[in-house]
Amino acid sequence: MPCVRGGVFLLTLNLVYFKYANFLVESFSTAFGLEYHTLKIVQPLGISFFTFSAISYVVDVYRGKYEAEKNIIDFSLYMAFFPKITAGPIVRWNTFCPQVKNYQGLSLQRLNDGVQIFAFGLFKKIVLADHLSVFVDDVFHAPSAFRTETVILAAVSYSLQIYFDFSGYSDMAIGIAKIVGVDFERNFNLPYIAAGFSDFWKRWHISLSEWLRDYVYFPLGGGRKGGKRTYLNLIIVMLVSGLWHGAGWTFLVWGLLHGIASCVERLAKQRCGSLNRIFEIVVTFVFVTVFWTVFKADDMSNALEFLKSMFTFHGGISQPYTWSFFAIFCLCLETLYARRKNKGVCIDGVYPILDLSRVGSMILFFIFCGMTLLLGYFGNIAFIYGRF
Amino acid sequence: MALNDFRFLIVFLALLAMMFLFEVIKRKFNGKVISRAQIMLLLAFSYCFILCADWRFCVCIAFDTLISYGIARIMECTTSSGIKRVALCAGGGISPDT
Repeated sequence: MPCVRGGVFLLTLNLVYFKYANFLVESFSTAFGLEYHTLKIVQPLGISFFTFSAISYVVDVYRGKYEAEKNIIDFSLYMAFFPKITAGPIVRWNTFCPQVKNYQGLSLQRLNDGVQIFAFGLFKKIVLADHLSVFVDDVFHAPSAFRTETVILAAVSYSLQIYFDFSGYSDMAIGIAKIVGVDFERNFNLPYIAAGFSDFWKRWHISLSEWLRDYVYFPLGGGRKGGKRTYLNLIIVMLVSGLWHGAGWTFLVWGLLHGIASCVERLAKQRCGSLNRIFEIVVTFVFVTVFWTVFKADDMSNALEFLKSMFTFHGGISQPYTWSFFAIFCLCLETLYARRKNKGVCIDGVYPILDLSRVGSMILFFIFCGMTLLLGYFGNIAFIYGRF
Repeated sequence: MALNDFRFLIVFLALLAMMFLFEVIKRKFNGKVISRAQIMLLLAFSYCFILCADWRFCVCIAFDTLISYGIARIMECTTSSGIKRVALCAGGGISPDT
């Protein structure tokens, strides 16, 4: 039977129109020197997330993984369920369906867990990510005005900001869904202790990585069609990942860089085998951080200006931003906690859940919530991944 | 309206209150019927959440829902692999060797 390759049809056409129309018009017009007017298109909330959910459902039914849903109410809830609509996670129908069909409703245990997961997410978002955004935006606006050390600190801060912003959102979504009776799987697993790029993508935005693996990488042949084809497949998958994140050359270049890095890593592991784990973690973090700067930049000239400021020593404004160090401290604490909780294995699969029926735990939780509101920054409510 | 928005907190508390009311009723009457009512309430709340951003987004997500629902049903009902493949492509799917 011939291969059936996806095309730009109804579902993806919707995504392409709302998300990429202006990018395509601008790119073609610039390439052929034509005049152009940007279209007035408002990008629907979470279009990339619900379109990918829809595609996974349709393809899985085609593959015979499960039967088509007959109840339109249940299926509509799967598509529009409010905790995941803004920024995921990309939930699959086979994990969502049994929970809706056999809906358990609210319970005190769910409320106890969900409220705490939500509170941790809120802390990550408004205390860590939003404070970091102030510093990061300043430095990215005019990188050449800052000292090299400050620019490097801003790059590291952006790595932390995007992690706390997105994992914070994911935690809030998981918490709220849990309160109303639906369980989502974790979307992050301590990505900055990843030893290599393949490991990083197993820990960062897990639901998207798994989606790309199942619906793009494997259908392309994965690693089964020989060396060169495997490398090509890796680059294609990372380019799709880049395009999924946004319509712009910076996202495409970011995806391409990750694709090339994944290929180089695969090649190096085949030739040299595994190296020291700490060394691998540090090298991965450095490259991921450098790649994030391209992701964050407004355009390629801004990205190049930032990278130039980062890699050439020069004077300028020095700003040792305290919140950056606090965020690094929190990241280390989170990693150590996960390591202790999971007996030496660094899996961020367990939240530090208290039993709120006890007075002491309740007081501790209220102190934590109070500190979150007291330290929180309320000038920036948008989520980075909400744009995608 | 985002999950970290104060307005969301207020409407979410209202949703919780209604869900809790359903839980109380569930214990006295037919649990399955009330569970369905809770699902419908969650769906209505989800659309209201999207509506707060822009009413057109509701149309967009309803369109995607109907398309994927319809395509999956067509694929299930038909035995022709050709129609299945056309339906899959219409859904923008990427398929492995079949």
